[in-house]
Amino acid sequence: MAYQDYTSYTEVDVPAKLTVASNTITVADLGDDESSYVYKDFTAGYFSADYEFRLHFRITGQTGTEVVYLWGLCDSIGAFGTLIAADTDLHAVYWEDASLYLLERNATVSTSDNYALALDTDYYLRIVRDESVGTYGTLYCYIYTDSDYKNLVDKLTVTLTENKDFRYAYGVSGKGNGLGGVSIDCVIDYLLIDTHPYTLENCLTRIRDVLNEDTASFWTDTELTRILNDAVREVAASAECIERTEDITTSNGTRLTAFTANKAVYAEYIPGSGTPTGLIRIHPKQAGYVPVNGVTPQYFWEAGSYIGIEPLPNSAYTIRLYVQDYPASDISSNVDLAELPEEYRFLPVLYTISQAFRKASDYGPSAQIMGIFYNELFYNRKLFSREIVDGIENMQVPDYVKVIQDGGAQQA
Amino acid sequence: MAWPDLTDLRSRVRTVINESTAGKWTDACINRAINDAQRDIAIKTLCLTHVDSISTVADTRHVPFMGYTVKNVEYIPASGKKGLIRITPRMVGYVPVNGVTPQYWFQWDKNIYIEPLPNAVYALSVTIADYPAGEMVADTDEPEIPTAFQPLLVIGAAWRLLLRDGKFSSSAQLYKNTINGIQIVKNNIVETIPDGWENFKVPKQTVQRGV
Repeated sequence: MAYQDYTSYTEVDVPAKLTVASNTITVADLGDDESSYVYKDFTAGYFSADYEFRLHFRITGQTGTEVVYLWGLCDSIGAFGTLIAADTDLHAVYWEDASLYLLERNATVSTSDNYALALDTDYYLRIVRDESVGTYGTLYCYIYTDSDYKNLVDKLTVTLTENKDFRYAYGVSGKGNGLGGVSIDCVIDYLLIDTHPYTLENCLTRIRDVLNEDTASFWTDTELTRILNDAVREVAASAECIERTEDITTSNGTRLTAFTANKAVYAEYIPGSGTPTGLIRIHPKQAGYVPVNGVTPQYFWEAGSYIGIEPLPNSAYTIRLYVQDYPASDISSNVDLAELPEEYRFLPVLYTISQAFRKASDYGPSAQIMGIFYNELFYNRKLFSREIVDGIENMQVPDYVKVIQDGGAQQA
Repeated sequence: MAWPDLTDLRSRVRTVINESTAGKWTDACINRAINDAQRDIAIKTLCLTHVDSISTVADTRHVPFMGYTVKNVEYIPASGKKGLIRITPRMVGYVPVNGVTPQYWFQWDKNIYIEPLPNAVYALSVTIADYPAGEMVADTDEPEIPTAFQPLLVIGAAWRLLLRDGKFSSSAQLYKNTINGIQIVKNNIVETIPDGWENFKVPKQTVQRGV
């Protein structure tokens, strides 16, 4: 299913605070007392089982503790504050006072979870109902900072208290029954109603498609999940595809500064003011011999989990590292996504199939699938790696160093 | 109805795997393989492209984008457009700049980094290679990848499905055919002009700066 076309939704906006385009809803100066909302009728009982919505939002301005509902499901039509006051059952995600809330309203009872977020920051949400967890299912809201749904900020969880089907999906709603004099601005876009193909549950389905064992028997879900997590780490290590930045601070008189990621690819000196500058990668044997200009960091090298800086730091300097890393955690619940870029998410499926065949002593098929796995891995790595290898010129000890060692005058 | 939709593709896949009605392979299983093949082709060929308008933030080097890799970036001043040159992070602060407007870029994770460090809001037009927006689910859903790649969907799905039947050598042949087919069509219709190594060299002035 493609992105939802908001222009096919019904817009109710008497105060004229919404701008609705095909993939984007822009909210400007919306107050808590204003009933503006956008919804679509998917017909009765349409959202009756597991579901997944994905969207992006950015809160661009707020004057107080006002509320905006960024997404919702309900069986009635109206502004969400009014619906809640009328004890209407609904599911919603809303922003209030610099926090994001996940809410189930069941008659008079609200159950919610929340997490503090920043203004003027892009967030990407996956809102998922998994009816296999808990008596009535569990509602999750995964909050990410990237469009690959990889950098997880937090996972909001609400254990549902009723099994409820819904008819109307909301693209946005104001509160409608609050105070005036406060307002909020935001952008909500790229709403997708689609189960992600590489959730843990969907990866296991794909693995079982090939193993020709649709329900667990010879291979348990637990052992396949364990192999899948090993595979994610293997992909992260071999493809070096989990990219982050990490800021470290040097110490006066100390050459080496620790960092936490797997590998530092590039480094950039961030001065308190003025122009940030990239650092050139050198070999430790070049320390003390490369030409330097002033006392600020100009060269670096990687030594295990440390970064060496040239010239020897004489103060605390901030260095931004462009690093490659391992996944922060394993995936365990049905709807979790591996912490890999989208272009690598299929590969752990291949790796797991290969390992599973070994258990059945099918070493030929296992080797064949592992061959495809590595072929795909290096194909993608060649396409997407952003690591440009240093030329040999950058690793040479400068010529004039030889002149100094010969006891001659420094070359001009 | 345009050709091909999901039903058309499934019929052709069923011909290759020699199962005309659902038995060993359910329709859902075949749909999954077709969708995986479509994503794989989009990833390997960068054939799904869209152009986004995004803006820098003052004193922040990076700007997030949606998609999986950036093909090129343009700065949009009040009038006209100016292409930006791709660099690496180590060149930041050393490449020659003219004024304060965006002139260079590099990608790290799902962000575009701009040189010189933006001192204001600047409009950028970014060409991004993308994934298919969603799965083909309904029988009338059609592939998003360009027509030239669509025949590859059939063998791209079939090599996955034959593994379920234990036909490993047939699967291997189709896998090879798929990769070769992707490469040939990609070379024909997707523009991929790589940056030369010269563009990524640290300028000579840096080497000489302490002398």
